[in-house]
Amino acid sequence: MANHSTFFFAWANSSETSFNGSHLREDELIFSFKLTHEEGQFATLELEITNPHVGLLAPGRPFWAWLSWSDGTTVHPLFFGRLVGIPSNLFADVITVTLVAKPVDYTEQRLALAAGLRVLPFFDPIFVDEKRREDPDVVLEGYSALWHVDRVTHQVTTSDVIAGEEGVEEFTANDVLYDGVSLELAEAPLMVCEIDASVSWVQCDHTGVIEFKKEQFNPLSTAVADDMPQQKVNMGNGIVINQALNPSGGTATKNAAPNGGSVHWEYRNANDTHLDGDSMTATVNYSWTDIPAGFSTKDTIAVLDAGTGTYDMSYHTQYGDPESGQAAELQYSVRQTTNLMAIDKALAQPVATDLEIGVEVEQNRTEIIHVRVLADVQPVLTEATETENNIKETLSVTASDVVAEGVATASDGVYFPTARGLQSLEYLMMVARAHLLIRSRAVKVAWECRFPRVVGMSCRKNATIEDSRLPGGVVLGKVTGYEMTGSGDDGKFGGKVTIGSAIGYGNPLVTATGTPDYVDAGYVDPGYQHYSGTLLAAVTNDMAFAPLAYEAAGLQLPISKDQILVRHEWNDAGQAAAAQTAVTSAVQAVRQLGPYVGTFGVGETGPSADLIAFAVARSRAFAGVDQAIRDTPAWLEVELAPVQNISTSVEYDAATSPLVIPMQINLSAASTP
Amino acid sequence: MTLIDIPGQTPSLPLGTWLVLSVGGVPLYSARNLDQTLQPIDAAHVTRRTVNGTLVDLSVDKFHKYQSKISCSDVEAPALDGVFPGMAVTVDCVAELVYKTAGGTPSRTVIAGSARTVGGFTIYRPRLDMMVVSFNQSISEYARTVQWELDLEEV
Repeated sequence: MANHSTFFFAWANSSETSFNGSHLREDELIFSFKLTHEEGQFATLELEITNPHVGLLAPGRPFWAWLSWSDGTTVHPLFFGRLVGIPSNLFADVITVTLVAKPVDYTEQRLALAAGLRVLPFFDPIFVDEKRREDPDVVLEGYSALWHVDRVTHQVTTSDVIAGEEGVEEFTANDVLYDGVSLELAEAPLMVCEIDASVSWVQCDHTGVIEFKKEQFNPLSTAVADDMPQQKVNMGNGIVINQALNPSGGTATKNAAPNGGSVHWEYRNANDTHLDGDSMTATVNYSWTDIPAGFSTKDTIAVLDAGTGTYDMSYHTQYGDPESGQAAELQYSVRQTTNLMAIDKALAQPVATDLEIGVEVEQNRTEIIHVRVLADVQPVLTEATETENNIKETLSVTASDVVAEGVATASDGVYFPTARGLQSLEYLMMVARAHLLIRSRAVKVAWECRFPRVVGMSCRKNATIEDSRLPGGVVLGKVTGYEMTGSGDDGKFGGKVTIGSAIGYGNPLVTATGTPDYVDAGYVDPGYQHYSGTLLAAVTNDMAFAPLAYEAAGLQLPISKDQILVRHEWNDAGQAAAAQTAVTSAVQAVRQLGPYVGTFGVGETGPSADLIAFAVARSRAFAGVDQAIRDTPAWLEVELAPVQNISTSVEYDAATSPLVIPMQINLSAASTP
Repeated sequence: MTLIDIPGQTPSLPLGTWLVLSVGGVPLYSARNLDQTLQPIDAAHVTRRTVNGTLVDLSVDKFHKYQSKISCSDVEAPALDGVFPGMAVTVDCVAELVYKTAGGTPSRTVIAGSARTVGGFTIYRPRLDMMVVSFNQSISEYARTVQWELDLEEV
């Protein structure tokens, strides 16, 4: 007895994922079947069976099933899947049931696979909404691939839309039914894919320091001294006065204690015997302020330091002697030259002040990149238009904050020209590539064949068909779908294969090293200088791109003085010289007073009238110095540009080479009827 | 008028035929030498062949019913005035059904006096409750012949 081909159908549990001999059963009488597997979809199986008149989804009843076929020698498992649902024609004698080859662990498999696919440049998280990053479907946006589920093993994989991973099935003219061959132009190929992408972040650098070193000014210009910040002051818009230093290292605005002095002298007669008229006790208190009030807190730039002047004091005591009539007396002499010397010094040597300004840059920076990738495809229309023929696709994506994403630092001045930015560019190219490639399969060829030829078919394969009626006589393509059908009523069993054929030219990729812009190649390390005309191959080696040149815009970090300094002016025309003259005159007036030598008599409780007169004259003289300075002000004006609450935007046009697309069908080749 | 004698059956053909229709009737000289077919209705014939080549009967017992065509050429027309499709009619068939006498029983009502045995089989004419499906007749004037057909289906 000859071996006959036999179909088996066995209900199974979901755990029976491995086909074995126990599944060689005929649990249902199958009148016809149709197994369909479309690219990116689950394989489905439609069966016409006798109505078992039992609940197909009744508890405890297996609703998974194996369909297998024996060619008489070997058993081929064809399908393992689950019942989709209760058939709609439930009351009929013959019902149609549909099963789908969706794995039990489909989600888990995809998640695991997707995790490994999230690699640059095919997946750039910054362009994917955070909520969708775990979505396995999103991960394929940068891949020219679709999900694939094996109809028997239920293994989840991806499959490229151009080059299958499981080899090429060759169909000769004898393998296909002559009337079952068809060719159609599915859709005009996508010729252009444009993507506008933007990234933004807040350029933030609070470490910037602008120094105005050795700013020379008249040390007696109290206006300058007055306006010098007393402490760290935030001026707003990112400008902070850190400190203003004088040459000696102290802050210019240090509120020095007023120079002055005091004398306390006390005498007690400690002799054992006393005569009438002896001085028993004497007390002298004297204090003075050499720097006029209001001046001492302002003129500190002049460094009216007590240590720089001289101060001397002398006193003489005379014990009283009743016998000789010598009265007790106390003489006190004070000579103060300190301030005069300091002022003299200040007049002679202008003070240099170091002003240190902290710059806290917070600049909203946006970079927009225009990526335009052309497909190197054969023409199918003589005058294709972008709008009418749907040959152009435009996408727009916005990245999340690149600093928050950790792909840039807040102090980075640019993004896209950086190494990480170029990976983003490559990602965008990959997205465009995926769109272009899947639409490059503009020709759809389908054919019918004998049943055994499709038993091992897969959407992870390529297939060729030889037919003289086809352009060039042979066409290669990616299997986009296939069918297996069988009917007991008419005894017809067959297969159908559909391929999508890419209509590229298959030209080689062109890359270019470019020419260095600054020094000869090799003189500096690679990456140190920009090259013009460079075309780097993308990771897929089917398109190239030019590195992006640095585009300066807005504030550049680290910040420099020239970026923010708007104006720097000394307003002291004539004032400085006038101040010198006036102050010199006033100082001279003080100096002319000379030292005061006073005599305190015993028992006097306060300064004498001439001492008071001297003190008044001295205060007026110093006030004259102060007034002289005030009457001749000079000041420094520094105007700085704001470094916060500002925005800058830069646009890049990415230069890319046309995408190389394989020639799987030569549309210009001849065919034979 | 020709009389036909069948052994074991009442040789009485007053109208020249054993056919009896409850509606209309069979006038004299209208149904002599008629032909009657008896076959299962279409719904009784439901078979499918599996992908493994096995023929499977998918019919249901309740559809195991007959359809019949009565055709005749005589000199008079049958009395079918007012008879239209869908009209119920009890037919005493001319066609016969046969079953094995031992252990067998007739599936239809046996017309009284129509049963006979031949060998181990019982032959009888059934009385069927039927419905008129279609009817047509024609006449040849000079030859004076009337051709008619009556299609019936068991209800």
